[in-house]
Amino acid sequence: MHKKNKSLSRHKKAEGTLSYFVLVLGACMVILPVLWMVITAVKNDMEIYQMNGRILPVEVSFISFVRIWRDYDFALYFRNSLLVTAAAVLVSLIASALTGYGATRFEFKGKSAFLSFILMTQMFPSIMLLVPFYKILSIYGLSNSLVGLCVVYISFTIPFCSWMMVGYYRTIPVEIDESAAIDGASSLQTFIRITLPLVRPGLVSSAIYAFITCWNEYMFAAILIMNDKMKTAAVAIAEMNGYYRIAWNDMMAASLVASVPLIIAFIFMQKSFISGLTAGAVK
Amino acid sequence: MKRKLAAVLSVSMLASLFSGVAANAEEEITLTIMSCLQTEDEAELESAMAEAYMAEHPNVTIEFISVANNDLDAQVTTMAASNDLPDAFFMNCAFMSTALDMGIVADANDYISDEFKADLSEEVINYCTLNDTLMFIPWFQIPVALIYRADWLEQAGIEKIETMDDFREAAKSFTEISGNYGFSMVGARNGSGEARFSVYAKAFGVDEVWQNEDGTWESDLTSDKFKTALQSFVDLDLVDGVVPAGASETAYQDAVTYFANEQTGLIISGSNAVGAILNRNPELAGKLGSVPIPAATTEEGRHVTNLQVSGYTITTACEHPEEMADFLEFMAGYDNAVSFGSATGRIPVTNSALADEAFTGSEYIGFSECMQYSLPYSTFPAYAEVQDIFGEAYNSMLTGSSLDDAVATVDGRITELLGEYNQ
Amino acid sequence: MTRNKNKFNITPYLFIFPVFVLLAALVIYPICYALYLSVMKTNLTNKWEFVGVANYLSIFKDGSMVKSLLTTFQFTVVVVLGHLVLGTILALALNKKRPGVNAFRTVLIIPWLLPDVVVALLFKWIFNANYGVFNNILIRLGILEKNQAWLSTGLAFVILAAVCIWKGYALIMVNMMAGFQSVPEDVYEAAKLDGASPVQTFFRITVPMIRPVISTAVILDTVWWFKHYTIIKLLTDGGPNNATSTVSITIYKEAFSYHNYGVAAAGAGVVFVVCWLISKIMRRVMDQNA
Repeated sequence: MHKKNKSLSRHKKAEGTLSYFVLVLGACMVILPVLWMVITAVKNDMEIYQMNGRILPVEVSFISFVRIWRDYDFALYFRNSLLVTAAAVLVSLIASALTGYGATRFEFKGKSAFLSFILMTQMFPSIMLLVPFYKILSIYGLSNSLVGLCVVYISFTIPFCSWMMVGYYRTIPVEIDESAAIDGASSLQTFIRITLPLVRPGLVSSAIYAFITCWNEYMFAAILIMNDKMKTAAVAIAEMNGYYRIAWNDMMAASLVASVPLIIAFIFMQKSFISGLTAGAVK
Repeated sequence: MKRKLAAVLSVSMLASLFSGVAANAEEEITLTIMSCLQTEDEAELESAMAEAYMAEHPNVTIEFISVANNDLDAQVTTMAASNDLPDAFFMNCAFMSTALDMGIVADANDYISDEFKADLSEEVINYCTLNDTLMFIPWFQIPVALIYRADWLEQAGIEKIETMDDFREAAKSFTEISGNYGFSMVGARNGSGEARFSVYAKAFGVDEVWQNEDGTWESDLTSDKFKTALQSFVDLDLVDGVVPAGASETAYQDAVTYFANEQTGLIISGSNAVGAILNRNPELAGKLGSVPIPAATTEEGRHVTNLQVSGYTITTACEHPEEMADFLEFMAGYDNAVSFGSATGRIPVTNSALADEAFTGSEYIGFSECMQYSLPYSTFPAYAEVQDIFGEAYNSMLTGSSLDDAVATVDGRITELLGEYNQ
Repeated sequence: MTRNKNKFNITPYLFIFPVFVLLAALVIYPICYALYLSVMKTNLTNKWEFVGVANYLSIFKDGSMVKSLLTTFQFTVVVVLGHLVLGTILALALNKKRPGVNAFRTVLIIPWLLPDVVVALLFKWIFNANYGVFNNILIRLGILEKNQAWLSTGLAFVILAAVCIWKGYALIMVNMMAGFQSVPEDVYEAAKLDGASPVQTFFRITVPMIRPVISTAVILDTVWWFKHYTIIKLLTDGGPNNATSTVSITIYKEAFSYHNYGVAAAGAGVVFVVCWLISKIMRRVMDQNA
């Protein structure tokens, strides 16, 4: 008994070391390119364009970070991105949670057709959807508006969020809400009071996914939004890679700044992500 | 419900009618202009012109819609398909025949003033005209010529770059002088590279696609002179090694960067490169020279240029085309064109502004000189695809294809394409 | 109770109503519009000529679309396998509560947080032939003598795939982590008592149990990367020599460079069918193993 425990703990130790080894390797893979982003962002214009020049900057210059606020209106672009993203995430979460509940708690005609329909909407190359999307939006007077963009984003995020929620709801035993039904709760009450807290990990994962998708989307934002005042951050960054000029250091600085909200949001949400995961429904 | 709606509608219509009568003298006008300069260095200059115009005409509001050049055609098409066009949009010459075909172009001949038109050279007007339609009001031109480092040329002991042989010679010498490379080749396939190679090939007598007497389309892309041009172009990189590494992925902005950082000393480009180079490296002022594209030493060799006249197309959706034309002429007028041209290298279209001393320096001399060799822009409806065909050819050769393979692909694609249009 | 079952119950439809309406309104019309385009020769404004299946035929007659479909298959297989391998390994390493794991998780998620545009341009910059740090380091280490244009060589496909793996593995990783959490601890305990090795436990117990949670993620990951556009466009633009020219690149070119909207729409229709088949097959395979 004693011996067995010892070998088990040694085994655990080896597993721990291996885990850390993998994690460090993975982290390097991520950090090195990002580090190059940071280094580029703090180099001045001359140093960027030296053939086989120094890897580290001779002098650290924050001119690029100054320029993105002074020469470009990034404060505004961030606001736009945030508005569109927040609204799209909210709507996607509500709609997809409802679908997850509906599709796992009831048997009804056309259910499997509906679920494959959701998936099928993802299979058409989005490039060919540009023109018709614009057409629809202009019919409803939503072209060139943040609301229109938000609506488009919802259609991007809903399918995956719905499927994720369906997956999560499947892992939650139906007995839980059956017992609620015995207590006299309606479907909607059961949905809100009993099951929503249980699917929190699913909701958080869906939210993270939807947030990232919307925050980073480029092509539709570039074509559907024409007013400078409504530009999103991703478009503004892409436009720094102009047809006639390319400002690597400014672009890297802007990219870094644009990623900060996401990283902060993730760190912030990670807490509920983790607690949601560990307090998960299935015990 | 319906009746209520109708009532509301008719009241508002009446109201707008009255306000229309009242404001007739100084009607409030908004002009929306889709610009792809708004995402570039030129944004402020262009906005300043609009500001100045609005100050003179308080009833006019000008709104720019900014779009990246790469997305421009897609954006215009998207909006046209939804009947949601702006009042004017920036015209890329590669988009001309498509736009005309789509019926979204208002003939600028109807709105251009005689005075302004009289100040334009015949070449410029021809360039902007397609099927008797003036496609846009010319604003500036960026003719294609060869820009070189005048100080290096002197150092190399070359008198003038007149032929392709001189050009190659210079490229080799410059490679030694710079310690890096000689020639900024744009080898990417993004439209810009093709436009440059097109001029290079034409200097060998190649005519990419033309219509013979009975209206059939024909092409030189299968001819020997095209092969010669193609081989000589890629040899600059593959044999002579005078081109910075990665030619096949070098876009215009990279090529300018090499030149501005003194890592090369030659670039085939529109005159706007002069502005871009000097913007990035002001120390090069006075060291730049330009000459028309050198002629090939083959039998059919010639000087040639593509004027690349640019400007805004008034769309069929524009409700105030006269006012729009007035603003566009304002931008192309003497004062604005001279200051815009000297800051950006996008030189004026009017003869009077071109004569200004701002454009007589050595960096511009080749551009003024080359205008006489201008060829009109191709009228072939699928010219963009023709460009892509020879773009694929040089690009694939730069990354290792043999001449025979590249030409075989060209042959197959061009034959199929012409077949479609010769039916 | 039995009577209730036979009666039409509207409740489930109310639950799925929002998603159904949103998708029907936003996606069905665009897809129908594109399918309509695919049987037309049109410039989207004043020319609409019905050509039947001619556009579809021209796709298969013209080798470039078929070739780009093959390239896309290769690309998708490599990228999705990469996501699966990398995502699973990292998720396993993150699965146990150990000091510092939170920090690692945040770092490992970063590529997913970066916009496609940024990822593409960042690596384009790293592999830049003349100013890129990759060449610079190799030369300093003495491995390379002269600057190499990596994205113009035969390695372009490999680099592109690596970048796309880098960008996308986190989605699989997160879903795997969530999946691992959904497996009750006592199942593992039981396996351990039965003397199963960690590898056996993983393949016999964990994988089947998390399949419902991750199968959709994997299918969608496949479909998305099959249709992917932005990174390929910005990083290699289909080059060199069409080595990375996937269907999305070809379709975009056909539509917005050549203005053959009908042919482009037909191409999109083909992709639609192919993606649908892929998802069917994958679903079948996954269910079979369950």
